[in-house]
Amino acid sequence: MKKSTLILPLFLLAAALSAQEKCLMFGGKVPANRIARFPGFTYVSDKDPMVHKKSITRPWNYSPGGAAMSSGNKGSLPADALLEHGIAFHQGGLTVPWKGKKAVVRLLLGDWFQGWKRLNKNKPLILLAVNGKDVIKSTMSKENAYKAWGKLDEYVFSRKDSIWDRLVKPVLSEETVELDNINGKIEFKFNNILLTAILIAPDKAALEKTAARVETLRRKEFAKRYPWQPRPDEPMPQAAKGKKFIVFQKHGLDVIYPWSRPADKEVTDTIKVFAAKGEQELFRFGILPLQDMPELFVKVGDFSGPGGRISTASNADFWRERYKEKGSEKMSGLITDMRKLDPQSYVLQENKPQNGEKGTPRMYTLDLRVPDKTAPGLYTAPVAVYSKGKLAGSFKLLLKVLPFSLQYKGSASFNFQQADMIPWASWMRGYTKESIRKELEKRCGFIAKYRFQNDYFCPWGYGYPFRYGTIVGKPGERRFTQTPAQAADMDWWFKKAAAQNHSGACLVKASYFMLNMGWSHQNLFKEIYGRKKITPQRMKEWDTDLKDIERIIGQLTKLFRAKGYPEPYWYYAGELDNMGVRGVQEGVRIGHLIRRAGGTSLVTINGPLAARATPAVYDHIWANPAAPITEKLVADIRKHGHKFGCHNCGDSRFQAGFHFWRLGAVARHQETIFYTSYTGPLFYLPWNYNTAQVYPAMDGSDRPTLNFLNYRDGRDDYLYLFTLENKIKQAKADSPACKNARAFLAQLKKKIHFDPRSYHVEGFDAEEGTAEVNSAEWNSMSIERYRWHIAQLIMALESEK
Amino acid sequence: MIRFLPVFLCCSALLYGAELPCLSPLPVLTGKPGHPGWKKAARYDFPQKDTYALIGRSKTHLYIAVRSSHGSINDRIATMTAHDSPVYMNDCLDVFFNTTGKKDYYQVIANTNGTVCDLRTMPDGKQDLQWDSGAKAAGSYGKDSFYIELAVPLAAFAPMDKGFAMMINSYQRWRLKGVRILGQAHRPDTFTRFELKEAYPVKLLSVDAPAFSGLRTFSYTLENTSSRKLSLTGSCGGSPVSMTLAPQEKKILKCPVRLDSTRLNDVTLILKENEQEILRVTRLLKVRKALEVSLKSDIIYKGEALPLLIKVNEPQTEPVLVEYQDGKITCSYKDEKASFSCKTIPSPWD
Repeated sequence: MKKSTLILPLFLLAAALSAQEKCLMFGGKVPANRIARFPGFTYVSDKDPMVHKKSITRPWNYSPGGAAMSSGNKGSLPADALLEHGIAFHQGGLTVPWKGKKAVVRLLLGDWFQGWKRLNKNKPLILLAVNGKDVIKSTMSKENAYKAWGKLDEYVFSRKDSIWDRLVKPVLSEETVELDNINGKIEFKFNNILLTAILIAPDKAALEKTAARVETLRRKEFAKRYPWQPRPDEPMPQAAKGKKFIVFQKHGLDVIYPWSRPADKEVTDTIKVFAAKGEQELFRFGILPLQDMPELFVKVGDFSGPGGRISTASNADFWRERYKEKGSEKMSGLITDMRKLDPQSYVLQENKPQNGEKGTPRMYTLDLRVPDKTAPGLYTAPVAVYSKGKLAGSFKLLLKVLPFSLQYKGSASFNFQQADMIPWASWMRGYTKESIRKELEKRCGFIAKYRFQNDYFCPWGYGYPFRYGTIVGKPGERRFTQTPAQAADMDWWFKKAAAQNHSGACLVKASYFMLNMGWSHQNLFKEIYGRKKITPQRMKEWDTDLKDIERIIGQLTKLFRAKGYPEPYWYYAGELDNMGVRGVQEGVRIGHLIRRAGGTSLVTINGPLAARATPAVYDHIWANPAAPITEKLVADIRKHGHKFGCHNCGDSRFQAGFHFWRLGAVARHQETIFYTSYTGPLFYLPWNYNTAQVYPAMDGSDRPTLNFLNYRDGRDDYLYLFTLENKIKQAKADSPACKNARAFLAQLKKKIHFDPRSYHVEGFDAEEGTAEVNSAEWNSMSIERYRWHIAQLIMALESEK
Repeated sequence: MIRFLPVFLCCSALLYGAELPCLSPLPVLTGKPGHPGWKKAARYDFPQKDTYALIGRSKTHLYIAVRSSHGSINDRIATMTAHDSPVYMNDCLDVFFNTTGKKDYYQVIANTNGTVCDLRTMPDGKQDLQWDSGAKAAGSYGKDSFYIELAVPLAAFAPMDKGFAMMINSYQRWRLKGVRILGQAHRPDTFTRFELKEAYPVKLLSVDAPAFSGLRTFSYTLENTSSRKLSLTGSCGGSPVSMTLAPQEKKILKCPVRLDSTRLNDVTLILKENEQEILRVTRLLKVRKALEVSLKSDIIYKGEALPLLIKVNEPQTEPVLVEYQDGKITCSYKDEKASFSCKTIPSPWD
């Protein structure tokens, strides 16, 4: 047979087969160069004739650059072309012509960027029906929103699972439906469905074949886009010889990968920690199975010692750690360094049995709150290790309680911007004023549990179902009024929920506060930031608005003081350098305005223009490293009798602790810690914006990560130093202990560079305050030894009394 | 034929640009306007009062000076002083070059401190900050203006087709805005073309730059893009080099250079053909020490081993010597040393 006569039937056969199968991918109607083609797929836009005309859709298409958090359609390059676009069908459908009588349909649902945040929560029906057959039917609720967001919560990391299986496969869920008696077309009906692709084949075997081909191609594309490889295992310690598992001690800052191995000196049967009375401190240990240990479970008993028993059930949280790829901490969410995909053990989960896989360290953290009145001395707690319900071994925790307490009174305020205040899923349909209040109180409780402050927490603005007052009057004559119900709401927040602050202050974002009271005034800073042309007429309106703002701030300041609320720090605009000198000039104007109104003013600065212009004007100037923070800036601020604070100076333990002490600031605001709502679509995936240090539990409550506990321990490092400084003040100046302590602090001051930028390993994000910090000098070992040295100095001063 | 004439004229306008005046005497970069070397330079006015650029060339360099009126001189910003720091966040002169006719372009940005940030943007948008132009800059502020001048080696771009395209942006940080001439920023298709008489027939394909201190070797992969044999002479890191390249030949040139970890090393390869500079490759680089030592903690517990992390960044031929006495630690390797102080305290568990 001639070659050409053989090729022709094969070609015809292939054509006939492909005519029987359809592979559709979905997205917005965009120029052809913005469509990423996946081999063998037809691109269907939301304007395609197959899409029902009355459909309500929100299509998305990936575009490189920009911020993952702001629009949700940017961020890390999607794993493959299929994931670069999709359509969120709020309501509508699709008709696909089909010649055969039978078909098997597979829908690939989900998206790389946002997930459920794209859906319409006001019409909560979730429905997927194919030719009248319901495939999915449910209702969006707070409960299942958390479940969708935390989809991988039950997954226990296994080195046997490939990176694709762990980090790409979960993005899309699959629904398969078999259809009979098809009459020329397949009708899809969608309510709140995130549609990425549809595969249709005449039978199951053909569909599986096509699906396998698609998956192979997707895996290949991903491997090309993200050529991550695990590192080789570190050498096994000598102490492991002949054992079924080993126990080892680590500190919060030690980064543990699946391939990490403890050093010989870390292998132990006693995990040792010291803590001051009332301090929160963590015991971190790992179990490295040297053979498989199914249903590995660890149980910690109570501590006992000279002061009696310390119950772990009521004084500690015992967490099982989960590996998670840290991802990018930049606003763009971009992953450019493959090492950002190394799994690290830092997510804290409820302590449940897990697969003790041979050769994979399983880490645990006991976060203990030493009761305030605990007698100093040594306390021990037994730890039992089980596999399949049988005792496999035991070891102990040893706690040394120190004879002093840390001084919180007069210390700096550590606070956070709450971003969405409470997670997006709290706003699912059916929320009430009461449910939102509870969520806010829960968040306040969480912050207070770790002895942080919620004085930067501003639950007002768009959507909050309670009002604190009403602003009435014509432009130029606007004023604040309040009904008894509004006064009660105000009392609830400022006297109850926010009253756990020791700072005695609360930041009030003025424009949002006024928005809550019904006055949605145009904020000129937004126009300056947006480079909009500001007409003389607009300036006139703004001048009038400023007069009203001044009057209202005056009224409210008096009210706050009369009612005994925390002192309001009026904050109107921040990060002024983002808006150039025009923004800084307006910022200065607002500073003067607040002063005239009798209020306390606060501004955040992130550049040299505001660093020059604001120290003389504002009562509180909170700067970030881009200002830059120099001794000259701080001296300038203090020269005017004003207060210096840190704004977005970093989220690491060293930055929160030793370095913060060096700066001598009165407050430390870190914007990113609660940026949980930006971790879409599944917070266990690393592909988008990843600065949050608090993740949601599946019941909607906040759950710390190890990084959050490290940040807290950084705050406590600062408190050790703050306590030492105060003990020095109370001691005799010429006593040996006092001289020693003074000499130590002077030396430490010399050792730590003032300018925060000197510790950044990589470029600093001026808006977010994130940068990797060099750990060569300040790491788990040095911080622990410094802390102990400080504790010794405090004890020496105490013993002199 | 007449029908096609307008099209022909339009194409020729795109293909052929102006020639730059040759400056004599050569400008000396003083950072202040008025040096006689700028007299013959071509002047281009920006769409802003009293703001103009002077442009000219020598045999080897392109000279650009920009005088820009500043709307708020009290808000002048010139904070950057380190090479390749974000100079674009200051009042600055930002010059864009394109030599390929494609989407890639070079940028040389300078502030009034004379600090330069230079980079190359690839056709896919990725930026390469390791690329260095070897440009020198100087500048100053006037009563209501700022002035920045630049000398950029032409051979740093190895311009093809006897020409290059350029646009200039004069940026004022206080208002977050710039004014521009000769095209649009980041849009090489809009840059203005300038002609060169010289050809630059050697293309740099890659540079392999060492990362550590000591006597190290730079490798340059070069390609002769012409159809003639090239006999080249020049220097690399100050030492003489010579080589020949057959037509279309690719060759690796290796240059031994001594690098110092305590400063920014300027390593420049200059290749000439018959005294004409046809390629200049500059790398301003910081290198790490061959002996890297860090002390994990400078406070240790009694009896604890010194927490030293020692790394030798080369095939080790000698041992690293560690001395520890009275809290002083010294590590030595060849001619490099690292010293630390260390304090010993009792452990909480003693």
